[in-house]
Amino acid sequence: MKPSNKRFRWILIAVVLCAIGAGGAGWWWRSYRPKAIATAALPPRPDLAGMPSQLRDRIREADDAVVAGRDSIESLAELSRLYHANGHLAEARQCYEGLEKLDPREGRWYYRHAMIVAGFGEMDSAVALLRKATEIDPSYLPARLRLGDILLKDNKVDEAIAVFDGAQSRDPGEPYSLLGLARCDMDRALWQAAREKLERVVQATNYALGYDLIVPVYERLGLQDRAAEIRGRMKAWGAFRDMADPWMEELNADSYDAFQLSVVAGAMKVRGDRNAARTLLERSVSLAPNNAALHFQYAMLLVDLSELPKAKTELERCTVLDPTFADGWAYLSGVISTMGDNVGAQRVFAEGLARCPNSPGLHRMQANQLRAMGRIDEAVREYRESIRLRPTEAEPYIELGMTLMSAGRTADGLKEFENALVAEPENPMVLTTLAFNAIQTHDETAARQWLDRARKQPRVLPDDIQRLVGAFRQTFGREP
Amino acid sequence: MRDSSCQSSFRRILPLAAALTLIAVLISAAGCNPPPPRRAARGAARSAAAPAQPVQMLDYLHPEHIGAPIGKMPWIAHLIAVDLDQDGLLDVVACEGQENKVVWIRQVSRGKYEEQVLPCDVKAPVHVEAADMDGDGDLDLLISCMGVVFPNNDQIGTVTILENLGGGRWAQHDVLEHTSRVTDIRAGDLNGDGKIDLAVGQFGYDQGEIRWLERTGPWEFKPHVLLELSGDINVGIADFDGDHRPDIVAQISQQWEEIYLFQNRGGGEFERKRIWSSSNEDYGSSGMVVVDLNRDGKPDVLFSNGDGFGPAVVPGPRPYHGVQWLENRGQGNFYYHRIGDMYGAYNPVAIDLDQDGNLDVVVVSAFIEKDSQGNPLPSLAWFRNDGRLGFEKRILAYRPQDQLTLAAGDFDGNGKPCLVTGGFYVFNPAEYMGRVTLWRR
Repeated sequence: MKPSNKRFRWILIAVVLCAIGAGGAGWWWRSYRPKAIATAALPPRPDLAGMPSQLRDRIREADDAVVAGRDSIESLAELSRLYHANGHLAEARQCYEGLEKLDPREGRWYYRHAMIVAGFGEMDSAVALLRKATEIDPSYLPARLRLGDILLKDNKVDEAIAVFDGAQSRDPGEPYSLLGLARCDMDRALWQAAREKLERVVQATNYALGYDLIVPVYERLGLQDRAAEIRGRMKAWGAFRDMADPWMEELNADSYDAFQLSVVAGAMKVRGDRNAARTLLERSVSLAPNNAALHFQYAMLLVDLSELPKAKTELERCTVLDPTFADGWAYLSGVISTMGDNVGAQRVFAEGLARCPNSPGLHRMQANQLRAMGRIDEAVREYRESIRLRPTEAEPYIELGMTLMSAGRTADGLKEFENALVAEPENPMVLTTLAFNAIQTHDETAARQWLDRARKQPRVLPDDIQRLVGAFRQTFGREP
Repeated sequence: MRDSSCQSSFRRILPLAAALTLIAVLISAAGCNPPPPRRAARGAARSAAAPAQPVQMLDYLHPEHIGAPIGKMPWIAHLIAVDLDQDGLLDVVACEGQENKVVWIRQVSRGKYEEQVLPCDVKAPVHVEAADMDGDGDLDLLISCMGVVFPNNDQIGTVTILENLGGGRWAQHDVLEHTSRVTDIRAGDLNGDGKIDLAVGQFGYDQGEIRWLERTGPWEFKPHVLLELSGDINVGIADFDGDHRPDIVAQISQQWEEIYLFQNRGGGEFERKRIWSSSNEDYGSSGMVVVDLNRDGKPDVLFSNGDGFGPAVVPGPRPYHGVQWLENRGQGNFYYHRIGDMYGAYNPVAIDLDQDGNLDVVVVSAFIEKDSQGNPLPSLAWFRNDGRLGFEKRILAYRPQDQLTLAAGDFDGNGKPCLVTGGFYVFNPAEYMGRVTLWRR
């Protein structure tokens, strides 16, 4: 053999060996590096005693799959979802740290990880994670909005503005980023700028967003009437409407925590996403079929959806599971009545009252029914029982007062109105009634006082004030 | 020639062969026979660290009911341990939110308590503090009134000072009325004019504020708004930044979930910054107190999150409910430390419960009956400080349930700390109710 041939053979062998080596390394890179990373990220299995068996099994299987190196990314992702969705946040966090190395082009890992750490106020970590998530998927708006919010919360107002502005340029008029910008303005005492943004927010969302901030902004700007008009719309507006967040909401499919699902469903309902809420409540009820409160919550949603027969079934289940849950009986009776069966409704109501003799709500309903039937003395007794059981609500006092006054017992009725003001110091109906009574009884001093209080209560309607002023003028011959 | 040619080729191929061998060894070592899998260590996630199983110490403290018997479902919204009559015996002053009363459970002789209703006309009192507001040497009371405890955005809050006239006589001064519902009032000379001013937290509902009230007369104050956000739970006054001026700290709940520091710049000017916040609008902030937990001479902030109310039908547990503290690192900078998990946590208190020289943390729980597995939840827990600011959770009691407020003090005069808790029952009567309970070692 010629030396050149021999050399060629050696070179060939070397090339083949190189190829085998490179292939082996690649194979290792693909097969065992993920396994090594996934295994290193694998948190110790938490105490799962008391958890649903399906959850335990899924965690065990995913955990075993990671250890065995089977589909490392998908197995670790499965574990992250299971831990996160079921409240094992430390374990979920460790899984995300692994997934960020294994699958660095998936924004969800960074985002969900950020949601955990930002929840505990670790803003520096959260900002870095959210920046990565927005870099990977610039179109995912919630990541941008959370990033802006977190920067603002971390006193980095200029950076927050840049993020919110970026969201606005992608989606002009988007209310959450506009709200964020308004908060930034408020932080810098730029009240007029905040006002302009908040006015756009409340207009775009019909006051679902921004109602809380626009009032103090108006007050800062001296626009007291506008502030009062918004204050007067509601006794208590209530829950914050968070944005839709598909990357987080995907986790709900892996939740076995019936209560947490009901919380998320409640938030979705507030947000107006009733179908999504329904899906979650169905899952929640299926996970905890003997939980009366869940059946009740599901029934309330079905009532909203005008699905009365299904609501009735859920409420019946609720009352069977917990016969002492008075609201179940009250709403069941109401649904049956709405469906046209007044006799059935009355029978259910009576059964509820028998089962829940200490329910202030049921006694109040009973009183209202008796009053409607003209059985005043019995109604008064029921109102008094309702008040005895729960003296902190104004409405039963008001209804009792009206009942007594309609029966000619004006002094007794007025006393109940005054009691109502102890329960709720500026109840608008009480203020207007007492003002009207003072005018009718020609007590000018009292009329002025009550009218003054009514005027200061934003929840008294302007028309009612005008009527009172007119009556005052007519009775006393001068302006109040 | 042949041999030399082979040697030459061999020499040329040698480095390549060595490299391939090395690759093969590496594959063999790292790939074909990988080391046994190693899991990540528990606790790598600092803030969301999974807790160890808590130790049950149900006999550590012995409960005793003090004050009036349970009549209606108690609504003890807040209580303090204070020697109100300065007779050397620690008393309890409590707010009964449903009956619109502030009660004084006086220790008339060692271990004997008698309750009296303080003469004031208040609506939904929810917080009380003691301070000498008129410089006469006795303790007056600062009473925060919401007007209505349950959600209501009307301006029905009142800042009330109950002036102690001595001899069991009191005079009421409503120094701020028709305002957002008031949840906390603290006293301090905030503008350095020698007069005691007030820091006021106002939960409101949709709108609320943090204010300071500048003393302008004996019982007259001028309000200054510091922040216009709803949801204040507590305020506190201390010199956080070491400039010898009292600053204000405020815990804000609702959807904001933030803690603000209002740094006192002198002359009634305050500069505000958030010193902690959560992006979780359901975090459930539920109580804050100023204490030097690490005893480094700088006041820290201890706070809880356990408000389980929300869009579900009943309140319930959240995996992030618990207790934490903000370490004051000076110059208005703080560092977050998680202490531990506790469903429904309210009103944390720092006290050296086991008298080992380290400040522990004790916390009550309310409104959540069971965890997601249906297990009953403790109503009183102790996070024992191991001396290195590591905290081990110990369950002290499951009953009475729904304890909303907690205070600590040496009620027996023997140097041993006692706890006192108040029960608040929103819905139906609980199986195990307590109104005001004294817990002794």
